[in-house]
Amino acid sequence: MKEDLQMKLQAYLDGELSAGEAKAVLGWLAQDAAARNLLVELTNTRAALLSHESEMKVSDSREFYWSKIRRQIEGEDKIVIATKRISLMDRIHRLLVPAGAAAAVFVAVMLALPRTNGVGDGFADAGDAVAFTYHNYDSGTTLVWLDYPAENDLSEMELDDTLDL
Amino acid sequence: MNFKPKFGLAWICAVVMVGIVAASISSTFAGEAKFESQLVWATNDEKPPDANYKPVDQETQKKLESLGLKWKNFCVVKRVEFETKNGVSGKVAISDKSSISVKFMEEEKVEVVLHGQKGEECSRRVQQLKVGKMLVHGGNVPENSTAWLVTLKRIK
Amino acid sequence: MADMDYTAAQDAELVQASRQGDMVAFEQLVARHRDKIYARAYMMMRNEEEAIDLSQEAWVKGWQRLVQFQGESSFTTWMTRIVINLCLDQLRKRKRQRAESIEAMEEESGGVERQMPVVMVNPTEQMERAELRVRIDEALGKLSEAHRTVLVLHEFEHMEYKNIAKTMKCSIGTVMSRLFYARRKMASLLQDLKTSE
Repeated sequence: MKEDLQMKLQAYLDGELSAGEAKAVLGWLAQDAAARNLLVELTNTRAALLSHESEMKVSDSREFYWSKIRRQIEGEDKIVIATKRISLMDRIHRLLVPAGAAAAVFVAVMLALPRTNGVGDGFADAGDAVAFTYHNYDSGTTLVWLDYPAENDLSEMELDDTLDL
Repeated sequence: MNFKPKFGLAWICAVVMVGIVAASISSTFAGEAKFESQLVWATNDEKPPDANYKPVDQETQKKLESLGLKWKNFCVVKRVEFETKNGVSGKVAISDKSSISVKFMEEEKVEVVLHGQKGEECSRRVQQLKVGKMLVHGGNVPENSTAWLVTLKRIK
Repeated sequence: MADMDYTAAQDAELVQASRQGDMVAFEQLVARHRDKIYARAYMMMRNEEEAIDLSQEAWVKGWQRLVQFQGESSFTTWMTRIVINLCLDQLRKRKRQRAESIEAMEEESGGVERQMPVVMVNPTEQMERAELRVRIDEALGKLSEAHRTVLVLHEFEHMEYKNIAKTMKCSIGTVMSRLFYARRKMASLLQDLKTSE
């Protein structure tokens, strides 16, 4: 049997043919015993695989397995935590400036201002998928580097929930 | 005579407070803002991959260089200018497949959302962006060691 | 968040809490689905240590990208995609390091499988479920990485040809050939396993 016919038979099994093509394959199957046999084999193999669900289990304890994940997450989150601290400062600042009724508060705010500006120009939320964030104060420019598309070339591009799969 | 210093102090306090309130109101209710966004291709190639891609302007070049990016050349693939009213999110396409949403908020903060190929959210960020400041999102293009950048500069 | 009963919560609730930075909720998700994510990694890599590492890396990626999860598929499907992509990436790295390419090996063996006689008897019909699982697992281990990958993506992830082609960065024709050879090889291996008892 020619390779293109074998591929067509397989595509038929996988539901990848148009209605017209599928009908043509059915007609061919009716006349060709070898094609029927091959289809039976492919069907059997497919059925065997479909029934297969690996029961592999992680041998590490729940705590041990999680500990490595947690360490990595916490490492990655350091930048985010830093920016969240600034966010808190920024919120306090926001509350105090409009209130501004007392000179002492005013002074405190004025003292806090340069510190806030010096640290980060007022970041708020950094809960996105950043690989890292960098701020150059002299040029007033913030860089948010993303893993999108992922450096491991398709890990994010192919996410079913976000793209084509 | 004794009243004069007290009155003077009260007057100064009042002026300071009015100033504070005015400053806070002006920053809280800033009407609208104008932005410039550019899709930029970062590469080490001397020539851009497309003749239509022009190098970024000098100011953008300097800002990008200040970020310590490893690429030598930055070409503008697309540039858009747009305005957004306070509290209203404006969305503009920066390529056929991606777009950027910008919402201008109180205290000159912006909420910036980057949308990917299927409209999915790749990044959401809130930060202050004063006039002249720039926020740059970027990522590697692993296939050819170049990078994509989306700049957002507040110009008004 | 403090009131959440983590063990009773649905995945969607745990995902929502995790997106807000609740690491306890995320740990619960990990505990629930770690075996499945690991099993998929193992199926691809055939190496326990690598599978553990990659599955853990997948969870870290998952945490970082929760913002991208829109709930259009189940959380486990989404996580499975992440781990599969990490495995593919690892396989590519490995391939780049090897002198000979996967393609070169498979084209060599591909022709042989295509000419094999058809296995008429269903080799698995008499097997117990547990036995079948072991057999299939062994047979999968005997496939080349490229054959196994295409089989896993098609049969276990239910991906269409065009999406497999995109994922594996090859043509649809190549996907079809690999899938065909992989199936025929599996049929033959399962037959061999049965007859060699």
